[in-house]
Amino acid sequence: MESLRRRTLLKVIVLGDSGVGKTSLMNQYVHKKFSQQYKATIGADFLTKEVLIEDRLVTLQIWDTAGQERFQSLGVAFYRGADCCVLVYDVNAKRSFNTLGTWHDEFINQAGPSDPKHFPFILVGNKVDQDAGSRRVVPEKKAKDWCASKGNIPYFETSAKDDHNVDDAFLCIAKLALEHEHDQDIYFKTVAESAPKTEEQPAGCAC
Amino acid sequence: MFGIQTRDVADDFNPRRRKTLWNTPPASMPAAHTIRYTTPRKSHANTHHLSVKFEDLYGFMVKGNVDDVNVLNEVRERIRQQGRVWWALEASKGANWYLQPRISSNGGEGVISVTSLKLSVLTNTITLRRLIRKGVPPVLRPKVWLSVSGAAKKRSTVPETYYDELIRATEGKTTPATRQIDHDLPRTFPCHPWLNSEEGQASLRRVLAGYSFRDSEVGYCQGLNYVAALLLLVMKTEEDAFWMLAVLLEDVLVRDCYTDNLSGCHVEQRVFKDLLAKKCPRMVLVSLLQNIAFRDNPPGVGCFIQ
Repeated sequence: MESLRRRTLLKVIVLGDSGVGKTSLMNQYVHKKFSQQYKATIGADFLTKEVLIEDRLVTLQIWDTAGQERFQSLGVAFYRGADCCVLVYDVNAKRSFNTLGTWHDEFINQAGPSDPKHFPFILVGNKVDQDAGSRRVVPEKKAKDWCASKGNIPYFETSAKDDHNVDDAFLCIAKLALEHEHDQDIYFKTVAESAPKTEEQPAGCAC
Repeated sequence: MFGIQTRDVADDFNPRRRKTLWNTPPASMPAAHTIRYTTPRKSHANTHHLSVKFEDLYGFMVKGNVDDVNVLNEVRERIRQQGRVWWALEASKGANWYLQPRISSNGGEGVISVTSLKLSVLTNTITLRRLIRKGVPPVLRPKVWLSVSGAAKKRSTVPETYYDELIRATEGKTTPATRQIDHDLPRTFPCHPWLNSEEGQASLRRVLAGYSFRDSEVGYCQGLNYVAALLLLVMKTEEDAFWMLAVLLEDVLVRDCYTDNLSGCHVEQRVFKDLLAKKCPRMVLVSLLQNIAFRDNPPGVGCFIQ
């Protein structure tokens, strides 16, 4: 009864300072494209992608958010019902690393997950390609230490520009989100297989 | 056609204040207004599928097919006709007739509170309103916008040197606002040749940073970069663009949409959500089924900010 198999929708939120490359990472993963000409994200936007994990077809709904602090006040609507949160920083910008704690706590506060201690997070250090790493200011060890202090969250170093490690990072995200979804046992997260396909459709606000 | 003018006026007190940032052709030149194809025209049956690139009025490169170009040319023809009406009025009423002090009409249309009113002023106001609704010719926009929006009046309440002094005060200062502005400069219409140039970005930076110092409650909110960039393209001079931004934020738009907690945006979204539920209930239902975060706020923030 193939047609009765249920498709799982996983909601992933991407957070981090303005200009760390959240939109670029998402577009590289979904569209396999990189552009120097992204607009700054206003409010939030999402893309969807279907992935096969352990013979299961899941739809990732990836929410890209605005990085400027004041836009966090709009976050509560976007964060709710999330299955995984991706924190992004720029390895060449110390400030974007220092604010990770704030993003982490703010997400927990606003999303209000039932088990905040075990909610799946993942850390992504982006732009490792820049000037062949010579401008890098946040060493890998420091990032890993931070991850350990937050309950061993997985860490990936990526380059959205060169498509380095982007797939691996998102695959890990999907797996974590799926595990979390199992634990949550929420019924209305699944939609019937026969529902219209939303594959790789840019969505959100059209303006 | 849209080359950047780098001419400095030598005898000007301060070149930046009045320097024309860049040039658009006057509306009275028909040839300059017709869109030119960058792809050679072919007498092929499928020409309308042909993708062409063309430059719009403000120097943006637009991609479209031949039908799009035809529609745009039609629009331009209408703008040109509208321009003729303006020129004819200028000839009969005198240049700058539209800059005359306007009457304030309280309580909406037609109710005018001034009793000792010159008939000519009244007719001018009515004519101006009618003309503006049909579109202001691009060459007149800087003057008309500045006057009608109240930006000129706002500027007249401060010393002439206000903008220059404000810019001087912001130079070399780093604030959270300027940091964010610097992040956004290369991401503001990078497809536009002038805005992608060093000169254009420096100009945009001065306007935005200047405003962030003028109004610490708004400071800088992402999205204002697009507003200010378009104002620079329309207004032609940096200072006029600055005053337009000021009048928009302080008197015209919902200012709370840009302040620290974006409270105005929250209000606008609730109103929008209720309106949508009332007018398009099916759309709301579908969004709910697809689990789009619609329960609290519809995803339309950008519309209220940009």
